[in-house]
Amino acid sequence: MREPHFVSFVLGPHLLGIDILLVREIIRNVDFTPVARAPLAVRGLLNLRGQIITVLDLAPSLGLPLREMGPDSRCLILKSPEEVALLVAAGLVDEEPVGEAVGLLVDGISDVIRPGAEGVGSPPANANGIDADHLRGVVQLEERLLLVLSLKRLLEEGLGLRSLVSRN
Amino acid sequence: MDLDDRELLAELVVESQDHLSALEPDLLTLEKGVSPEETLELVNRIFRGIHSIKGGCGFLGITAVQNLTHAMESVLMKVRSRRLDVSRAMVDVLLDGTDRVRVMLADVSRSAEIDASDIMRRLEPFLAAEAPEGSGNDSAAFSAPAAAPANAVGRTGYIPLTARAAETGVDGAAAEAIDLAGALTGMALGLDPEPASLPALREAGEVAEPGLSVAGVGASGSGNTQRNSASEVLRVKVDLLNRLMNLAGELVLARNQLLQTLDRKFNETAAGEAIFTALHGAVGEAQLRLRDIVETRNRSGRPDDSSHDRDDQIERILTDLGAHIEQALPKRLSELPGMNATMVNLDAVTTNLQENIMRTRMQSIEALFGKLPRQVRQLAKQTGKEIELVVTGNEVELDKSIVEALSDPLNHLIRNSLDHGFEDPLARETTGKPRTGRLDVRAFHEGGQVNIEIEDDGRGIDPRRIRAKAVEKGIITAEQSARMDDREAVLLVFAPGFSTAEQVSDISGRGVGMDVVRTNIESLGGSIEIDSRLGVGTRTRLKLPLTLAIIPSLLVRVCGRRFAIPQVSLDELVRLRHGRDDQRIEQVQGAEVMRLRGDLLPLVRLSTLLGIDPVAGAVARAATYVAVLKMGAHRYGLVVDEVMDSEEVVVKQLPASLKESRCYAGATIMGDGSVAMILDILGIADAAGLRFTDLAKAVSADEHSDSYLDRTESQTLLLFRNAPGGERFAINLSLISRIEKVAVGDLQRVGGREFLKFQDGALRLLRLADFLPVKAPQEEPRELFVIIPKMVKHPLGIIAWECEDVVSARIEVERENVRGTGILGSGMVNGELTVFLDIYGLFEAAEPDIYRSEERSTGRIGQARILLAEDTSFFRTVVKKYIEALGATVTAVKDGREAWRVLNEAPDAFDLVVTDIEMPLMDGLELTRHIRASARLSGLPVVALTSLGSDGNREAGMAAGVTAYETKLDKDRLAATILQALEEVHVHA
Repeated sequence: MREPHFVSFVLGPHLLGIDILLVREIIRNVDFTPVARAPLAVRGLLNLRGQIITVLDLAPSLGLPLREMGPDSRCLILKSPEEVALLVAAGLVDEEPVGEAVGLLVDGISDVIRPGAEGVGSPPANANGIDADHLRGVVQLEERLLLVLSLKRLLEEGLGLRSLVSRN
Repeated sequence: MDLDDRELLAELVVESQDHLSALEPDLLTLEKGVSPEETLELVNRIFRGIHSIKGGCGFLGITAVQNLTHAMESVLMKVRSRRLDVSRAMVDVLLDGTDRVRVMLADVSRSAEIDASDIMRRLEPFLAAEAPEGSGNDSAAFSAPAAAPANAVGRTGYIPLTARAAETGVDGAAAEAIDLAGALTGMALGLDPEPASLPALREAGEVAEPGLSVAGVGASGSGNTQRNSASEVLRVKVDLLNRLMNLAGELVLARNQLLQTLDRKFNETAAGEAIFTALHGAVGEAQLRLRDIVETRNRSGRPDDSSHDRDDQIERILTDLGAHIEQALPKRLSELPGMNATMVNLDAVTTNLQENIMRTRMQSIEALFGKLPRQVRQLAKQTGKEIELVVTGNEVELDKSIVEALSDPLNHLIRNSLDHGFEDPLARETTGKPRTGRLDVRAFHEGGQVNIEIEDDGRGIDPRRIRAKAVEKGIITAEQSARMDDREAVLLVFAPGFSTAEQVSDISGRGVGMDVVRTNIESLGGSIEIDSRLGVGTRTRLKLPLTLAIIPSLLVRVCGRRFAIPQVSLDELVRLRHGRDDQRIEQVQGAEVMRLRGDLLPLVRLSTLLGIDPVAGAVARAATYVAVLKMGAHRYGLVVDEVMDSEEVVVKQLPASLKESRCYAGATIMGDGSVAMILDILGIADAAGLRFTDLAKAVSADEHSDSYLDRTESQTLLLFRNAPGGERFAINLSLISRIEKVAVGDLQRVGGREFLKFQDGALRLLRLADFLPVKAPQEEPRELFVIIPKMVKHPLGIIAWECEDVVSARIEVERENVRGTGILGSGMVNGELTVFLDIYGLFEAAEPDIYRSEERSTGRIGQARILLAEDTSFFRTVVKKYIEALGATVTAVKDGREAWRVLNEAPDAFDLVVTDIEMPLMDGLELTRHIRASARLSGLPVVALTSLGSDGNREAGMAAGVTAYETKLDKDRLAATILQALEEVHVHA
């Protein structure tokens, strides 16, 4: 089995991680067009070399307030559902592909983390106020805890493809 | 089933469906009765189609289809061998059979569950009709010779094709050779070692019927042709084409961005160049100064060596500096070798690529038209009518999505025609028409659009019945109905909730009205028109765009955000000045509405609907704009802050997360790389909760019908521009004598005026920019257009930089927005704001002397009070302007009835009546007769106007009591005629 590497990033007080294989690229240009009447977490649309990307803010799903963007803000462009499906078929990842081309708006990018010998621990019931449904696991780093996200639900909720209320 | 089989199966289903579609029209032709040779050819073709389906399905073990097609094929075989004649009943059952096969193929895995026993039963009599040797089961229909080749195959594994080619139809042999090759390959690959292929091969033997021969080319030749045509067509997944299409769109975008970047870079370079040049100049200057200083010092004193050295040093430094600057001088982009050519090339290739990819999405309209013969036949049978269908333009191509979306509307129109349009054969005969009705369905290209016409020679639409129905349904009031002319009445079929079927019938009465057809067509970016003549027939014309991937749109801005409005939904733009036009917005039932020429238009404020706030610190605008949008029969106004450019935008699919909002139809990327949303006109009305029916009732009948009449008039316009990228102008085509294309060298300038030389003299030319506040071309092209008006005494040619188009459109000329001498007003033509020229006003401005002296000579007109009755608002405006320019007072009304009312209210208020002949409700002749019959008014002079001075008209006019006749557009003669008419009255009085 492949040992996963995680792209770590900052969102509010959290250090979060997602499998590096799920990330297409990270862009500095977070110059997106806001779209009115979109779901709360959909901050707008971004033109990535001619492709329309939905810019998603995970904050509402993680119980955080929406924030202004800062100089360290980045957009983490996720691989397309088709690309993820191929990875799943190849047994490289086990995230289910979701809906559309998405970029995650984050407060800053940190290192790529290799979990090492201890590997990924199972998530606590409620890690720093984040729903266990949204976590795949945790990695204990020297100073802090990396929360590895489970994307499917987060994306579905954020994109309004699944209602926040009917989660339970 | 493994993957290979699944793919094979999918392939087979598609292929079989193609066969079915191809053989259906053949069956229909067969039924009509054709010559024996043609019958044979048709039967052969149908047979081959069915046979291929049977072979394929047998190969993949789809027994339900195999059995049914086998039975059908057997019947056809008897026809081929002339043991059975074609009959209507036979074609019926074969058609039903193909339908059943279609159903089975739609879900192959469950095909076995579909019962075909009824069709098998109906086929039996044909099979049994003249059974040769040994009946009892299906295969009894096949004669003994079949056994021999089949055995041969069974033993050796190949078939003596050449022998069969001689015996059967040559084409048949070729087609079957391919089928067999497929079956053999299948066997060879070991996909299916036994059960399916053997019956398939046995089939081949059965084909070898004796006594059948078709003269023709060799089997190998025709076989090759078929193979070739097959290998040149490739099935490509629509999904892939869509991706290619997207990529091409992106390439176009990238090209635009590249051009923009280069442009910027070029400007930067130019700026940099200026700085360097200045530096260079400064250094040169310093050198000169230095030399001056040195020389002055040399003359005045004794220079020592040290100062010499220092001078030399400074001189050297300056020279070096100059050289460095020269080297560092930025190179102009245009000096980069090959740069321009490369850009031009990139531009051309990109455009070409995009067009061609777009073409791959094109599908011929045959996909739709191919179904018509069958549909018409069935409907004719159901309604007991006799119809001949004539289809033309099968080869016309449209975007696949449009072809698909056209299916329902087209069906509806055909049903309508069959159900309401055509009379019964008997009724036709009694009115002197041929028993058989003719239904024409045509597709053709016109002006970058595809036109589809459906024309019947039936009874036509009866405007009286439509009126009665519309009143009964509460769509219009009785008064409105009385004021409508026939053409307008016919348009009522598009009103929501209108259905003319006196009884809801099986065929067209499905609760879907013409309003839905119209909405569907419009949502495709198309339009629909109906032209009907009572007793003669009805023609419906659909106009459709070629593609939906790129749409012309108007960009608007709201609270700093850009949005694209599809041009096809845009009716007109209204500018509202704050303070001055506030009263045009009112509250009706708690909602904002705008008064537009007496019509009440519901308003949607985009900023409110989208919940976006004005950008902080935004300057209060002097005006806002209302984009008047149309959806089907309804219109509403969308309030926006700013109107920007018209642009063709590449439509990007809307992300799923934004569909919920209903406000957007898609997204697009602007030239600067940012994203703009494309508005969904229907969705916005929906999201804003607009209720059109309530509003229509809230508006009084008068106001409503007023705008209704005004809106529906059509005029033909010449559109042209005065300068590249400048304003667009329109002149009514009936005012134009001709348009000349001239070389600039042919223009002559005399005394500050320009002339065009003709054989018989010189025509003075005028440039719009000299008389109107419009853009002038910056440089002169080598060729210009000169628009020469007609029916003026002193013609002048108007210089145009480019003649764009001639369009026929219903346009409301807005007289508020753009004003001035020489301008009638402005209006939206095909989504672009267009200035309507008043050429007489222009000419007066250009030749004030001539025109003023004539005015003086027209004498008495100056004091006359004139009543003008004219239904077309364009002519009403123009003629009113003419007469007013002569100093008369003009009261304009829009039909004879209104004129009659006005005259009766104030019999002494007018000195003369100028009336159009053709008008709704009461025409000019009737008005004249009323006037002549009235005791108080009988002496009133009446000048009748006509657009074409036809003599028949003239006689009728004189008979009715018209004083004089004149054409509408000849201003000078009209003035003279009016004067004469007025004088005659004085003589008589």
